[in-house]
Amino acid sequence: MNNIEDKIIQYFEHELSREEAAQIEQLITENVEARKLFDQYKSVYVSFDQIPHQAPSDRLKQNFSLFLNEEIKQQAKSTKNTNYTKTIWMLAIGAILAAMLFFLVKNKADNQEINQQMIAMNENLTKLMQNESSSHRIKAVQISATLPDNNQQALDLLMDAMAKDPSSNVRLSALEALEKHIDNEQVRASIYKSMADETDQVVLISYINILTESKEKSAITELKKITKDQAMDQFIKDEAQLGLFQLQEY
Amino acid sequence: MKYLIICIFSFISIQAIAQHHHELSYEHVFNRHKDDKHFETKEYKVKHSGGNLIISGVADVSIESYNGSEVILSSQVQIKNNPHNDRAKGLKVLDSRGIEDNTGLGYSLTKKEGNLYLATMGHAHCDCSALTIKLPKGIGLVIEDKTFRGEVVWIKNFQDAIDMSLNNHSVRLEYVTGPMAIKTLHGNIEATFDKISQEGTINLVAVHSFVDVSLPSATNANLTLKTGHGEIYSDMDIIMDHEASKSGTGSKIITGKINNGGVNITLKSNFNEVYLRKI
Repeated sequence: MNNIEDKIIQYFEHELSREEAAQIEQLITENVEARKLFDQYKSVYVSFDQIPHQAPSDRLKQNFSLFLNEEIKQQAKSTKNTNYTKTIWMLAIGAILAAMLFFLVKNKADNQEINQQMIAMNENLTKLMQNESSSHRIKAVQISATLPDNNQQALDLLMDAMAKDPSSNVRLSALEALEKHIDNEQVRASIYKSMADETDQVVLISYINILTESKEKSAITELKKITKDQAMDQFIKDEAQLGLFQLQEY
Repeated sequence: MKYLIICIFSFISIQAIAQHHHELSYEHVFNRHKDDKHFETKEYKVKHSGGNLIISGVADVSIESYNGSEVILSSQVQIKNNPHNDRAKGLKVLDSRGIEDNTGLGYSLTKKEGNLYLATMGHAHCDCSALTIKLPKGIGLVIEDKTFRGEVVWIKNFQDAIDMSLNNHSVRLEYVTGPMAIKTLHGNIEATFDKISQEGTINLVAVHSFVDVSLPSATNANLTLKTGHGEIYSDMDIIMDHEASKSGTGSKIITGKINNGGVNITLKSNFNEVYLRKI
């Protein structure tokens, strides 16, 4: 099934030849398990393409303009003998209020749909993070890193991978993905905690470099802890000391 | 100021060590006892398919995949037994991990939950030369070495997933496809890909030494090339993402695509150069 899973991922990445893609399409009509897997990945990729846009769509704007013009035209025909300007303005305001109501209702429905897609995507990313292959887990980390900053579940997934993944390569990728969120207090606290528990020297060097680059004054305390750690290797202490020099200069 | 000078001196020393790391050829490492009458080639075979070969603690080792069903370990072994310690004749070397040399090559090889575990036992067990491993296709590779042995891991003709975390070792990859995640603290990484698998990411990280990678020019990939204190060199046609890229006196990042983009490839050296070549 792993091979099929890989092929399905390639299918959605448009990396299969026409013949291979046709084989996958045939397979999912015959094999229930493959169909299930296909649907799970489909929801990831579909929802990935539909990351929320907070502004109203062009179509919505266009519909609203058409609706407004139509209303104005119709009312103009039937009110030739009345107070023309006043009526037009009242109708226009009414149309605006109706359109706003329509927009609010539609936006709520859109948000619900997007939220459902985000939940499905997060579930699938969580599943991908449980894959035995560290390379697949790194892929999940990299997808999570591209999600909107307010996707707390994606951030949690990255922080969890940074702290606990058995592969130091995955922990390193998660740390690097979190670098751009270092201004987030929760992420920073998580980085400090994970750094204290980290035993891999390459990952530790990356923690030190990321904290130095962040120019975060609170990192000084964390780097000082490393320089004073009796059990720490000397070259890591040296790196932390260099980081301290740079941070204290900022 | 004194501490700063010590730090800079340590940094330069590490760089120098890393630069002179492993100049030996494959032939020298793996066939140096080939014509030596005091050595004989020994093999250990075990049937296995799927899962991973998980190696902890490794010296010079060469690994390649082949169309077979057995994992084959081989090494040139000194014929004289226990050359260092005649008193140990008839006794076993005890190991706190509860494992023993069941291969006759100075390694313990055990099966657990669909994976194979290979652990080095040290020279008390065997005067062996570098280890060669042939793996049936479909078995992934995980290597973790935290020792201060600075040798070379050679991987050739390998299409399955690789996850390596090394301390002093350098890495040579020939005709590999990925996916892979490899990092080494003091060693360097040289890789030649004959094609790139689009199945998973490729991450190659060397902290103190260089990363030198050759890719087919038709490769589809998203690239991230990083260095903390070195330079990034390439002759590939990279469509650069200028917003995500960064240059300056400190760290440098090049982000972009080659051809139409595809699998994510990250090449990084914290303190040295990154080379990306087309073939």
